[in-house]
Amino acid sequence: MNPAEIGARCDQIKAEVGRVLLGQEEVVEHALVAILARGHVLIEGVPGLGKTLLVRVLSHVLGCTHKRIQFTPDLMPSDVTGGNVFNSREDRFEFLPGPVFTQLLLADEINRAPAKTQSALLEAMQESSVTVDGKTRPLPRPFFVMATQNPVESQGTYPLPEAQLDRFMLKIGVSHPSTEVEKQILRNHLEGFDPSALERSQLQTVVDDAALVAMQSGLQGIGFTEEMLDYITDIVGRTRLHRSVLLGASPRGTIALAAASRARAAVMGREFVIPDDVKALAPAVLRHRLILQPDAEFEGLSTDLCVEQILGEAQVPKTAA
Amino acid sequence: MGPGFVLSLVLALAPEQGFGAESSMQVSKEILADPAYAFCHDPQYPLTPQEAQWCPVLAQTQQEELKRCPAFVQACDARRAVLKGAGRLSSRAVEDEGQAQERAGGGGPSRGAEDRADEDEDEFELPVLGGLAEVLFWLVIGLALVMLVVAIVRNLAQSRAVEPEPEEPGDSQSALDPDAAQAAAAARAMETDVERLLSMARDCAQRGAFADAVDFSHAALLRRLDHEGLIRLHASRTNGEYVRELRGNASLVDPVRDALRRVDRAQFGPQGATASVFDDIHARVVAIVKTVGPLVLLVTTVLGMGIACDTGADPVFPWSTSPSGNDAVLELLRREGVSVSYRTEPLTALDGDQAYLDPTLVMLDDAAASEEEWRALRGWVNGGGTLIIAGGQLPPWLDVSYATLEVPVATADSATAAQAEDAPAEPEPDAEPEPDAEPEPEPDPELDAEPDYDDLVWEELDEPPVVLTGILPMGRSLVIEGAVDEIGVDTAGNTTFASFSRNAGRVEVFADGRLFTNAALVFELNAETIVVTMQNAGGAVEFVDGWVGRGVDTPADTIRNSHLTAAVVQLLLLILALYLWRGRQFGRGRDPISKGRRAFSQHAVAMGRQYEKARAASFAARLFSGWVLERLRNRFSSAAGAGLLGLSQEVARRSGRDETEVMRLLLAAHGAIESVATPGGTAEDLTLVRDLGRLMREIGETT
Repeated sequence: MNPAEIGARCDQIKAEVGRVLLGQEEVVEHALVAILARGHVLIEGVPGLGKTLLVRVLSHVLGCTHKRIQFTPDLMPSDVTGGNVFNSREDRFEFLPGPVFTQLLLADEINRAPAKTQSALLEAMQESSVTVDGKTRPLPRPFFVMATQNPVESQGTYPLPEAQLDRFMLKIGVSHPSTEVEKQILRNHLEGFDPSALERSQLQTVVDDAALVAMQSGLQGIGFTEEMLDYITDIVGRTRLHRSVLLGASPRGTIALAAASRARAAVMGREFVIPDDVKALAPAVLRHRLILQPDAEFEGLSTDLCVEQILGEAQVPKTAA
Repeated sequence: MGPGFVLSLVLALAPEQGFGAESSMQVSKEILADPAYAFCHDPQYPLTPQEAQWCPVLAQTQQEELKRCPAFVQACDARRAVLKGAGRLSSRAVEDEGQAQERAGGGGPSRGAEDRADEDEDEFELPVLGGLAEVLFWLVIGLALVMLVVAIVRNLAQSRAVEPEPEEPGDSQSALDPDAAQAAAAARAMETDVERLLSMARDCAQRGAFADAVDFSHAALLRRLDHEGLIRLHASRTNGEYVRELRGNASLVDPVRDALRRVDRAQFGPQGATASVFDDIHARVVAIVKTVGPLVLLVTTVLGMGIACDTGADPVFPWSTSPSGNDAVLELLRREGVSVSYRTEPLTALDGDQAYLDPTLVMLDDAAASEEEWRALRGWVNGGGTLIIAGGQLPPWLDVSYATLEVPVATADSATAAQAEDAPAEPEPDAEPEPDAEPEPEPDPELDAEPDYDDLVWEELDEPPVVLTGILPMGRSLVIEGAVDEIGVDTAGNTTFASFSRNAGRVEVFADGRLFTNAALVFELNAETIVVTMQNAGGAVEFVDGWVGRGVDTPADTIRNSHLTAAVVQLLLLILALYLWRGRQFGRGRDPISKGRRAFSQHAVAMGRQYEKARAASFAARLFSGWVLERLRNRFSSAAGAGLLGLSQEVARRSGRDETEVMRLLLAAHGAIESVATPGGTAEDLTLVRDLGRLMREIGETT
């Protein structure tokens, strides 16, 4: 599938999702980018902003299966991955797949589970496979994890370790909708919209899983110029030199930025990456990969601000200035 | 025709020239038929009080003679005008708004609203502009014409250029070495002139470096938008951000977005830049670049004109085509084959320029020469030049002066009365000339009576002069004290013309300059007189008005004349003061100071300065001593214990200092902690801080 076709399909997907999910165009676009780039998304936002609805609508429109895991402190890794259960009738252990065996997985409030359970997702997210009792089982393709965490309630939570954070291609902040959008949401609900009954919304399935995989494969045709590679590495390199950053982004971050930029170019129907792609996605790619200096954190500096400063200093290729 | 209105002009050479009287009459009639001479066509034309002096003359003129200027008589009943400005470069407007409304409403005695409406439809007239707006208006027109010519020339040059390069995949950027590419990038970043960037783009395209050409076109587009304040150009900003910045400008956002998309494709796409891609981009960029500036300029100009325009739409009449102007006279002379123009060079340039004797200089009534200029004119006349004084300032080296005759009242009725009751008189030839003195009135002479030549100073002329008649309002006469070659008189015997020989040259003086105005051409004989006079003078004619010689040679003169010397001197003094205060740096461009975060050491230094200002050395010594002891205990407590003795032994071992000295320092530090800090402090406090700081550095601590 060529980029123009990918772009056209993405426009259809965005339009279809936009019929139900209002005011979250950027989140939808970032989710599409992550799906196409075979990445995963960590969404930070308070409850009630439509994260679950997003996954359900996306799965419907993309023709994929989806499951949801509500992470709690007593959630065990096997509750995520599944495990071997003894079948007394057949006198043998048989594998009972966990909810991770799906195409779109919503890991709700992932920071409420202990690190052991969180790490159960590590292999799934990185390798798209699950190993239980020494046997590795592949996950269905495409496989996409959308994890959420609540930025407000920190008591009784287990902050994601850096290794886990690094697995997420994008970290997206979801904010409250504008008054106009919220009014439209209210109007829709008063007119009978039921998020639990999406079939009534007559959502169209724009692509199926095979087409989605083809779209993912189509990204290979999107190229980078040398200047663009320089630009990406320059941005990531600056995160390691920034005076307020204790630990900058890793090479995995560089790869993620390039992959996400390439996916955005595809979403836009372009067969090449431009600086706008990189600059649009750099905050989402880098914000969770930076560790700030303690004094910077103490002064209230955020990683978003650091990335903004870096983007304001990095020279765009082919600039006229 | 009443007495005093006829000027008898003596022109001895007239028959020899054989001028065509019929021709002059016809030409002057054609000239005044031009609607530009509104006083001949508009019954409501506002006359100045001076111009109204023609009214009595017109009232005595037969209607048949006035056909060439039918509205002039009716205009005598219109309201008087006031002049805006100082004459020659100014225009006039009617007195008040009520008059304007009356005129707009077609209240004129002879023409109705329909006639005026038809005229308005037929004639396009520019709005009335203020001084600055008028300058700006013509500046814009001039710039537009220049840009048009440049665009045409450029397009012609392009069309003559080489045939387009065949399309190649990629471009010949690869042919450029990295140094050349870097040089191009540097040039692109440094160059801010849009035209030069576009020119560089074309140069690169002609060399086959299409990638660089696209980059230069891209830079030209962004520079133009930046110059117009539509975007903020910065090295870290992308094309998408520039487009988003243009969202408020609906007319630009679409073409700019299209152009930048193509630039992105050429710069980052797999196909790269080719000749056709460059042509497409360049055409779009040029279209935008050529649009943005004029668009902004046009909006600014229109707004400025809107502010400056006289919304009352009162008619304004140019001075040059008014009864007092000279345009008709110039046109008449040109049509009669006389080369005539206004003089632009200063009169002092005539001094010693004996080769420049051909033109006849006509000094109009508003011309005023300085002593230096009169000296130059004298030399020029003596060398063979011909100078005509048309009622203006007289040369100090000529024995002639003016005497004022009683001028009839401006209105037609009063003029009639004046005609009936008053008559001009020539002053006594022997009397002292008093220009401002009112001459004694004399009884009315007979209109057709011959002048009493016996009483006149030119009675000694050898042969009777050829007399041509011209018609002027009553004004001034000449008082001649010395020798004269030729003179002319009016029917009342007033001397109104004199001719003087000066070595090889000649000076002719007319008592009344109105002979050379547009209004004079209403009378056929005046046209004849003017033409004959100029043809007799021979050669080209240069009119000298009040503006000649008013220019300056240097910018300093301009500043002085505009009374800006004090302001400029103050500005220079300010610059000098800045220079003395800040040195050369105050005039240098510098990068803006970056607002980076302060290092911790800077905070410490700043805090130290605050302590210093507060003269709180004892507080500083106390705090610093506490920090030093705490730091040493943290570092060496495991090896040395918590006591000062063990601490001093360990520190002495690591620093190589004498243990006693270290102990003394630590004790002093301990004492500083225990003591009560007092405002002011002592030198010992600072010494203790310095010694402790030195000790800490010796053991590898940073302070």
